[in-house]
Amino acid sequence: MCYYNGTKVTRDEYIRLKHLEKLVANYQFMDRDVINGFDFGVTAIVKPVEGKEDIEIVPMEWGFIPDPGVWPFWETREQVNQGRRPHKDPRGKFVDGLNFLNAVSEEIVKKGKVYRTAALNRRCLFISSGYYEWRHIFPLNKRTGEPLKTAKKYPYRVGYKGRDYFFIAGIWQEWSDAETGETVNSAALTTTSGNLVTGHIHNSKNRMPTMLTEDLAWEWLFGNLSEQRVQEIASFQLPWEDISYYTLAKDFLSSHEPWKEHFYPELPPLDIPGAEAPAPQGQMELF
Amino acid sequence: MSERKPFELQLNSVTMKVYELDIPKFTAYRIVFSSPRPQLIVARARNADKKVFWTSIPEGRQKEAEALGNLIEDYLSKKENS
Repeated sequence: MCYYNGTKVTRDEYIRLKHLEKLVANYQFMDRDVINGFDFGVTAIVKPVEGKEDIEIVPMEWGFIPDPGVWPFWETREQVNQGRRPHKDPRGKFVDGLNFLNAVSEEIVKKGKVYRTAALNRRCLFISSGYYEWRHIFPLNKRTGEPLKTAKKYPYRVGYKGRDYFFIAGIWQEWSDAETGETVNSAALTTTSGNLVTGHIHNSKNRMPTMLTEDLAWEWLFGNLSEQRVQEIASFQLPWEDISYYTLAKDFLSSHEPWKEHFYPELPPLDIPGAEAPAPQGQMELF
Repeated sequence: MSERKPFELQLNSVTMKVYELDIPKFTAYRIVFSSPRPQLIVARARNADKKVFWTSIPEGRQKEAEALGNLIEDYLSKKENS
């Protein structure tokens, strides 16, 4: 006899439920409306099949876990879990977590950087139908007319115009827990400087994920790339004219329909010379 | 593996969208909550005495699975009888 979820079951039933676990896990990683990086969950990754010019889609943990031999020397899952989140260091000092969700493209192949070996040898693609970013607006003080110190944050969904799915450059790494032997494939996506649209949306940092054209995605996976070319593709900035975007409800992360457009009357349109702001869906339907 | 069109259940102020998973030889549902609670998969299983019970897939959320599995069962039997 075995126990599943604390209930005594037969061995056959136990195996059946374990099989269901596998089916469901493989299904779920492809079927998520919103993936929050800070959950460090699995996401769908495209990687080359070893020795072939062919691809496979596999689940990987989003949040790169570096080789245990390099800084920050994470050898066990416990160290990974602690190190990823804000925590107290051995001296009792409060330190930020090292989440390794995003690899800054400008430094990706720099010698001594944690992502270098993966960028040169293990490149992959994140599959996305859109990403989420917050635009910061500083309201004016009614009395002084000066901007307030605390920004109001408006969420946007950003996509690749005319495409249901697109690819973001990524790098991956296999890692094993020294205590349990658990082996995990983890990945980080690369980021580049924001274009006219994405920079205005992510106006606190002016960054965007490296969204690739089909040709660049193929080259990223299968090209025999020099360091310089890795750097160039990782830094590729999709032209702003190819970006689609709209605003979302502030509670979209807990919504049944997180992709649903939400119009904010007080929000000024993006300041893009020569470009018309996309009208919200509700307004379009009126005309 | 695929999902059928969802139905909605209400519990207190939380709305749940319930998707039946189309997997041969299994009865399983994916529940998506309107609150920040993470989605849950529940499945019908048999214990060592051959009695049916609801379990979470994977393990770890047994109490929720039992309560929500029974709620799904009530909904489906009412729908069947209406």
